[in-house]
Amino acid sequence: MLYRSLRIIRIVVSAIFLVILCVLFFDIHHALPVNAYQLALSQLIPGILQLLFSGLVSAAVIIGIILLLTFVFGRVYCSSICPLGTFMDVINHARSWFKKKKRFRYTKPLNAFRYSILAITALAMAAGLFSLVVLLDPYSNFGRLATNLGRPAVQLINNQVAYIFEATGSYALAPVKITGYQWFSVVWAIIVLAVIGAFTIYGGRLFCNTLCPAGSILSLISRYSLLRIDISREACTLCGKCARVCKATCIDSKLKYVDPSRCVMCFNCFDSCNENAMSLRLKKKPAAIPASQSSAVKPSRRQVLAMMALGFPLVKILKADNGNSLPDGMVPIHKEFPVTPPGSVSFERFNNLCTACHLCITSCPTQVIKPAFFEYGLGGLMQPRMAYEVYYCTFECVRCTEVCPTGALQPVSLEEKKTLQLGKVVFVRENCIVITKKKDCGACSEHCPTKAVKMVQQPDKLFLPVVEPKICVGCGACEHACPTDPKSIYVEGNPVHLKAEKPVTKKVEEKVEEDFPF
Amino acid sequence: MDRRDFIRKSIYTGVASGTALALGGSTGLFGQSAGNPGGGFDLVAVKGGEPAQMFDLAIKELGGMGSFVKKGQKVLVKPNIGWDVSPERAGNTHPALVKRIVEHCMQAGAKEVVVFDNTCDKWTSCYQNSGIEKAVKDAGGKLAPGNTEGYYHPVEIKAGKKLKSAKVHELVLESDVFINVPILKHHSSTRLTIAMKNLMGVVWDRGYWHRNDLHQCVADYLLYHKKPTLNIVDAYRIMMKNGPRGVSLDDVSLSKSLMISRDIVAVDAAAAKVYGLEPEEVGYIKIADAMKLGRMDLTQLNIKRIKV
Repeated sequence: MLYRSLRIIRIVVSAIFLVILCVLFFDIHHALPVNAYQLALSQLIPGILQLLFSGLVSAAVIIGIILLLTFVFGRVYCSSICPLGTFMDVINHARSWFKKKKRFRYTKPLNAFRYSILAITALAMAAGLFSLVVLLDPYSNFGRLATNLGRPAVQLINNQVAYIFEATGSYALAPVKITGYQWFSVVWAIIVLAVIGAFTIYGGRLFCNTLCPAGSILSLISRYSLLRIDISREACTLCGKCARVCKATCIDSKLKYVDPSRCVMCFNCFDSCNENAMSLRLKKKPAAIPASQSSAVKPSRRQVLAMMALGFPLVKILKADNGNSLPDGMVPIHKEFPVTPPGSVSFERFNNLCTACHLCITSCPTQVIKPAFFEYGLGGLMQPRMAYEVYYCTFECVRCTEVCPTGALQPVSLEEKKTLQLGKVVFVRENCIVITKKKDCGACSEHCPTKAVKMVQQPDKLFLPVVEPKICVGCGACEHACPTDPKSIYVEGNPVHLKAEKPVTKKVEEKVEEDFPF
Repeated sequence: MDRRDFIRKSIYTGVASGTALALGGSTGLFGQSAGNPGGGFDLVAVKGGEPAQMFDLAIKELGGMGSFVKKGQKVLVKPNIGWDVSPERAGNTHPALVKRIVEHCMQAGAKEVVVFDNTCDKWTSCYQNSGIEKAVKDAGGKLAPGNTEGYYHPVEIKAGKKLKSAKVHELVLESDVFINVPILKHHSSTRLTIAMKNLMGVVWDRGYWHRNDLHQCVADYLLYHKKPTLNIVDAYRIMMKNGPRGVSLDDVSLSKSLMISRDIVAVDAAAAKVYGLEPEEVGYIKIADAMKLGRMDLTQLNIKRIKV
């Protein structure tokens, strides 16, 4: 009975973690307190990045807990805490509604393959190439599925419900802009969903035991775990039911052996056994250990990537066509460098540490953060960027810097943020309404929180923007508000974030007038 | 459920059940002091009091809120809530004034009083940090979002010189009474933002206005028949520079003034003078006056001046 309840506990715990992470990613009204985002720190790969590159103590504690759990109980992480693992279980379960229940069969471990993948991922990181870990990290993959497929659906449903409310005269539920995704990320998420779905339907937790870096790291420990699933030599009748329900395909019923390096401790086998032959026991003898590769390679700083070099010109080519049909005198704008979110310190650091889980995207109250396409080059595909075409970065907000589970975005205080320069304003005189149409506009200056964009009256009485980049924080308000196409004002990203000067303010003269001026 | 159909129907029903009267009333009122109920003033200006107190005094001179709001009517109160700044920064209409206006409307028997703005900064932060959300709720009013295009419906402005059409928030179309409550501020390109420019907060595509002669568009919009029934200018604190958002408290000067009028051009002209500019120095005021959308010559108006 005790063993059966283990399965129930596993299901409940995994459901809790899945729901928590879904709530984090689907908080479309930004109602969650910032502390809620600490829950995203429960994930292994982001935790490792935090620890290695930001030296965050809490990350060390969490990794310690995960490793300890694994050492004692085996890979419970993969069945309870990992949202992608639970999502695969959901796919598996959903499959049984349409088809006969999947019968799994024992397969040999693909150790050479999975540890090679892990070693290559680690070595690539050490060499400064983080793309593999971004590609394979289960949490980040889950985040991208949630952000690019799940969240727009939640937003759509929200808006439909809001409109029903509105029809009854209530403004209790507000509609939201359906944004935060980008076409490439959506396509990518669909591909990932298809691949994960195929892996799951074909081989249960095949992904976890081949490609997943978290799974491979934990398997290195779980093969020495204290507790493991044991099949009683006496009670077992070799019926093979346990192997048929084992989604990790790690039960060799003929040898009455459960491979601890692949077992994700889902406890389904306990339920399947009519003979009560299965139990959780202290390990008897050391399991055979294949030659394993260490993942503890000392990381070094990233070199300039050939891939990035490849990516930047590609953006230029893709965007080169906007110069064709411009009205007389207007010029296309070429941004040299995209703007990275606050707290990223430098593009290089950010590009290394961000696993593109998109939690900053979903948590951003103004939805100014979007997955990049080739703006950062190939090596920064889907990493978040400041999308000033959607909105601008609010002066009074540091939310994204508080939620990042990998430390790619470092915490920034509200005071620091007010002089944190993400980029600098550039004015394109040729495109400005005041020049092209000889009419007042000033949308850019209206929105500027530091008045790095001022309107200065010209001899012809019109007010023309004049920029002062040294007090610009690069929030993109001017660029967002500018009504021309192409823009007359934009933010050029700082590859390394800088400190802006504080705007000099002078108290206006109080003129106390007793009388009405009319 | 087709939401637009619903809204369209509800507008037609609104028109059939008496909105037409209100419309007929408000379109013919500009500049006709003789037709005004109450004290017959074109403009009431108050100085030296607190926002709510000054409004109490001013509205009394125009016959009380009852001369604008009838029992069972739906009232739209449109303050300036454009920015995510605290009330002291004077970037948004004073919350105490908004609160008092909503209270007056409720007392006059309004069925409901709804407040919204198409904000520049993130709308939820603006509503909250301006203090207006709390003020409106405390007074028994409702807040509505203006953050998505779905709320805005295209209307024609046939006589407009530059602005021929606009997408207007459904609350403007649905409400029986429309009260415009701007704050007087410096504006970087139009020099001032007061009552006329505050109406940019009920339309969706402001970029079009900016692209196509902002001053003319601001004036043209007054040709749309659903104009404010009453304009109340908050000049308690005035942002004297770095407007319309402001950079710090240093931009703000205390003036303790309030102007109210049915004539949106007149109230803008008076506010301009309070700020220290002549009305004709502000492009859209001059244009609106020339287009006879109101009167900027304050010497021709019957003004009630109250010092507290």
